[in-house]
Amino acid sequence: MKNKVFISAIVLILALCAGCGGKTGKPVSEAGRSKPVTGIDACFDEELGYYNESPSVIRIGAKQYMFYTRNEQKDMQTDTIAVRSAEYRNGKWNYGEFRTVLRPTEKGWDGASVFAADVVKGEFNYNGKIYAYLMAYSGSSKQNRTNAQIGFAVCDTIDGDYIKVGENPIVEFSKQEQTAVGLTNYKGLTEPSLVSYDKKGKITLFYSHYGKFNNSYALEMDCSDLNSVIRGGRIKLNVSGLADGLNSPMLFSADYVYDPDENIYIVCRNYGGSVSGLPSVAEAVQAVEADADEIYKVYDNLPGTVPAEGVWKLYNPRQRRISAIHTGVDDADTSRGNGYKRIYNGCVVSDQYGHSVSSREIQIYFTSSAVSGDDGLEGNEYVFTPMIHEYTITRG
Amino acid sequence: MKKKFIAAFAAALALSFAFAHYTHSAADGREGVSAESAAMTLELSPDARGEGADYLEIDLGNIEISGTHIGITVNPVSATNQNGVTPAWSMFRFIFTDANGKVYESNNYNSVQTTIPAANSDGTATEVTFMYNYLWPTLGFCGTMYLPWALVNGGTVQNPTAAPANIVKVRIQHNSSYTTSRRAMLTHFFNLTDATVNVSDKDVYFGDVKILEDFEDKTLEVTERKIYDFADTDLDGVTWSGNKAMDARFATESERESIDELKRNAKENAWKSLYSVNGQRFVYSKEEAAYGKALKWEYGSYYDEYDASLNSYGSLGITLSEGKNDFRGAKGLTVWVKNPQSYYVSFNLEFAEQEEGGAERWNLNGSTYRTLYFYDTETGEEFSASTDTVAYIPAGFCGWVRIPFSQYECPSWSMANEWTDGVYDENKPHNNIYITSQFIVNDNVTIYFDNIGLYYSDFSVGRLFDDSVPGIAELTEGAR
Repeated sequence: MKNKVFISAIVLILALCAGCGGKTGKPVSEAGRSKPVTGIDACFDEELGYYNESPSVIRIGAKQYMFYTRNEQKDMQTDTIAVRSAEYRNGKWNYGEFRTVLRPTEKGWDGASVFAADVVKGEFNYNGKIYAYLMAYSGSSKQNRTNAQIGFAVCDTIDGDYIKVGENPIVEFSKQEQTAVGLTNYKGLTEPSLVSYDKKGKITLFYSHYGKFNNSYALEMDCSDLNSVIRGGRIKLNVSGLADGLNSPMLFSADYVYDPDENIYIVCRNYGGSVSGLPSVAEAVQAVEADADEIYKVYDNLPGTVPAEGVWKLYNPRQRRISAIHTGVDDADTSRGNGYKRIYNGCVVSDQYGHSVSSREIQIYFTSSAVSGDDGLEGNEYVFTPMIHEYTITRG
Repeated sequence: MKKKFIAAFAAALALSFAFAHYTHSAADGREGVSAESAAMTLELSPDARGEGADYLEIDLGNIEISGTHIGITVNPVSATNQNGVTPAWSMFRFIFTDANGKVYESNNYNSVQTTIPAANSDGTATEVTFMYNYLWPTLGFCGTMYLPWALVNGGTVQNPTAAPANIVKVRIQHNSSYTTSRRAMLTHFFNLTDATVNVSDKDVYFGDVKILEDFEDKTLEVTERKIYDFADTDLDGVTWSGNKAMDARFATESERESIDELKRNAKENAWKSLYSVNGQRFVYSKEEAAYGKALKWEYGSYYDEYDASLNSYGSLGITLSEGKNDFRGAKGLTVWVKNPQSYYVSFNLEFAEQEEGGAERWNLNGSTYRTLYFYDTETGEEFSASTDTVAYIPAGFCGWVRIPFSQYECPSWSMANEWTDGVYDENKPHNNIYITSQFIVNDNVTIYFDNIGLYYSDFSVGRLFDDSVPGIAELTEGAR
């Protein structure tokens, strides 16, 4: 009797698994195990053991390119920058195979990790040759990505092999960030986001700074000649108006697109708050917008007279954040749960210049992850579960 | 009250003139000490302490007055307050009488703290606090306080008191019954002078920055005439109050040697006397920097020198004279700072707003993550960065820091005072600026400060693509 029940259960489970894979696109790899899917589909499937995170998506007509961070060796933290192109068919974006376009340089400042890249089109002269695409990426000599810095790379085509610019980072996490006890394991400079200023060589580089102080910065740079970059000063962005679970909300892990019609920046940022368990990343992302001139403004008002409403506001006032509840699927047959417990490092789809593709709505892409201790995961397998998802928000 | 800063050469000339009258003869014939060190010494001791006002009156004869100030040359040596603690200041009230019996009192009815000009024995300028009807020369000061006749009897700049045509009597008064009074005090009195102090109203600007404090040696433009020598006082002829709490004598030889020693070190002491220090002890001195003399602030080893009985912060106070205490139209404070360390250092640039009843302190304590704006004069870089209840200066930074008033807050400990309202009002006097720094996190650091000022323009920071609003460099360097 016991054997009969056991065999029945096995058959049922197999049937359920087959059903899930067929109907919902659950990422089942022929070679390996699938990642736990507890909500909406991922944009593309890859087996458990490979993480896909920190997307940057550029749309060119009916085609779009997603740059993201992927480990090159299964079950090992071996960061690279990968790209997948997608074509819009049958009401959705269909992604092709990945292509690795940037790897760490052995013994270099980015010797152990390259991650969280963004790409912009323009005219960038490097060593006498004009390149059409400039990539900004985070890099670290440590596998755990700490004390990260930001580097540049260039390419003739959007999805070709990128050539690193110089042997040093463009923005250093320098001694200026040290405390009296020295540079410690800060996250450093991460999540670069590029917006073209003139569709040529002038760009604005946004990034997150995790050091003694955590801040969101912008650098205006003329990269027409990458051998002699002209840079403005490091501008701490005005963050007034942001609200989340932190006392001092910041534009962390933020991707910026510029809407020239409205003269606003639209940003997808991590929604701050305390989380328990690993990974220690955000549980939600948030879309906000701000007047493009205001975010740089120095407020010289008298104390207490800084505008209470702040510079930033929600892109859609009814869409405070994209969290687990928004990514759950109300379909008992799929055995999916109530959405993803971790939702972080998102981006807003832009054109090649970092400009918005619509003034009415945005498509954001974000990373999801399972949590340590989730059913079916052992040890640090959660590290290799991140997937990338799409979500549309209508402007409020 | 405004001081005119004049060139060293001119100062030297004025000094020569001023001290040309100081030809007191060594009447007692003693050798080894200078005639100028002869003094009448007033000593308030706990044993002699009475209740209420106590004073002595000295007949001066009939002295014609032609100047705008009465100079009082003193050297406060020591004091003990009512709590048995050594205060920073001595305290005296002066009352003069003219031939018609009209009195001229050092009244300051509004109880508003102000300062009067003063010169150290080497002629360098300093200031003495004038508050609660008293003059408060700091202990160790050796020089002349110039009390404007315009400010006696409660006079103000707008409604000045006319100077007397002559004076016949001076009363030097203390009041032992005040809680702020002294339990013990020893002060040497040297001279009275009929003085005119030039207090021209000339502000110094760096671009849009009005300099409030540049840490330079300052000199006063003074013409004066010695009209009374306290060393000539007939001590038996002195009139004492019924409540006699002080004793008068002449300075001893050893005291006069100490006075001479004090004068030999006058230059350094004079500069130091411009500032009040409190809390943790730190070494402060002047050193040549980008814009002339800068304040060099040095903390020693935390393990060897931290004094747990004191406030954990060291504080250097700067009193702003009238005119400089006017913050109207200014958008924030700025200061030139140099951090030679290879790591962050921190400090707070605080200011006080005069409220009815007391001072309201403003600083960056109130909240984390305020924004400061930097212009590194060596690299040319402009950038903005966060505070964390104090200002943090990056490693190697050398340049200007701007702090908009919008980033300031009245901290809770200041709000606890009944007179504070927590509202910044640019129309109220702002009489004091303080540099404060926490010892514990600044163990063994050296920081340079110079050119504390007010800035008046909108500015941008670090912009490459938008020049509609000038950057700090353009605004600060523009007028150089």
